[in-house]
Amino acid sequence: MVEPKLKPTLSLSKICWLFFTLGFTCFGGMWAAFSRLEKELIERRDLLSINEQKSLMLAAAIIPAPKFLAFAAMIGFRLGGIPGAIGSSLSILLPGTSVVILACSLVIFLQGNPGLVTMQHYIGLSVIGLLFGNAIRMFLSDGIRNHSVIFGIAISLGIPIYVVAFEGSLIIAACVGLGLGVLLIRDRQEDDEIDTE
Amino acid sequence: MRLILNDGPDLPEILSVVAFSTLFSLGGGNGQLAIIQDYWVESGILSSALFAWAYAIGNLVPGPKCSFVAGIGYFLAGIPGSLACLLGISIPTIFGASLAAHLYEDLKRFIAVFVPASSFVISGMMFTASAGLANSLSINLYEYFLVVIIILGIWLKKWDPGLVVLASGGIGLLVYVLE
Repeated sequence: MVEPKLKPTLSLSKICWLFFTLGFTCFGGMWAAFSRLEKELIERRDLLSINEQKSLMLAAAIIPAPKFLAFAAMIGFRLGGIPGAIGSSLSILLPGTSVVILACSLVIFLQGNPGLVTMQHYIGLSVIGLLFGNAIRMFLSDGIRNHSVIFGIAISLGIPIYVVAFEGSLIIAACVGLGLGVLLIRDRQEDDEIDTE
Repeated sequence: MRLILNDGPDLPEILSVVAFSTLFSLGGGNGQLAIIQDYWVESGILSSALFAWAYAIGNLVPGPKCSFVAGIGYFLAGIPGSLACLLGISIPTIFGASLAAHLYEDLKRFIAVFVPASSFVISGMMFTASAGLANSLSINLYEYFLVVIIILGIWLKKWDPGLVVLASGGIGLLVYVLE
């Protein structure tokens, strides 16, 4: 368990305001906002140590939830229990979601405009590239240091082949892939420990 | 205001699909996006252009990038849909994060079992979402070339997604003006 540096000292309204301002000023996701978070949570408010910040960021990255949102909820929980977690996560989402909703309502008003249609088409192309490029990066980030890379390739390619070519269910493909992966894929560190034994 | 192509989902369905998709964010990957695309774009409920628009805007705004789900909810069922999406993404996150903050060491060992496989599964889901989106758009040879450049830029040069979206939108406007 990560021990809190201080007992919760912030009121719910202060937690909400803190995360609202962070949600308004942090761009590029949790890791990109590292120094901004450090400045606000450690240097300015003394709510965490640098090691605690890193531990919580790593914890946020390994639980099944969006990282930045999970990080905000964990800090909120430490500062104010469950109400703090609720307040921090909703507050950090508020600025971004407000802009998203505004932009989405704007696109409805302009729907059918030929300029917007062309722009949307090219943004669609960029999203295809973003997804594919990020998928390659995610695959390689673990694949190159994993002994069981052949199973990884089978899973990463098997899912799109099953879903796109055979019109299978993505959920089933993902769950089966995860189940097989847990059985067949291990970290190199884990393998080394077994080899040593 | 309902902004969808066919009869769409109701609020409990929106909330539950988004909450379920949140579980596929393990390791920071965007498996969530693939689930949403599979549920509502592949089935024809939401157009691929609107889906791509919401995701693209999510990359431009401050705060968590998962904010894009509010746009998906808005297209599906207006402001109530956005709120359902926000609840859907927040409930499992708050529960999981609070538990993780409280039981960090115990949970770390349990989650570590899934982590090595999760990046392969999520990358497979992202490949699927990308292929699904490409299938739903009419793309010519020159546009495929642009997609390949973006893939290489993201993969090898770690281009900023927000800038990629902005530049692509700019190219789209330029193409429209020149035509």
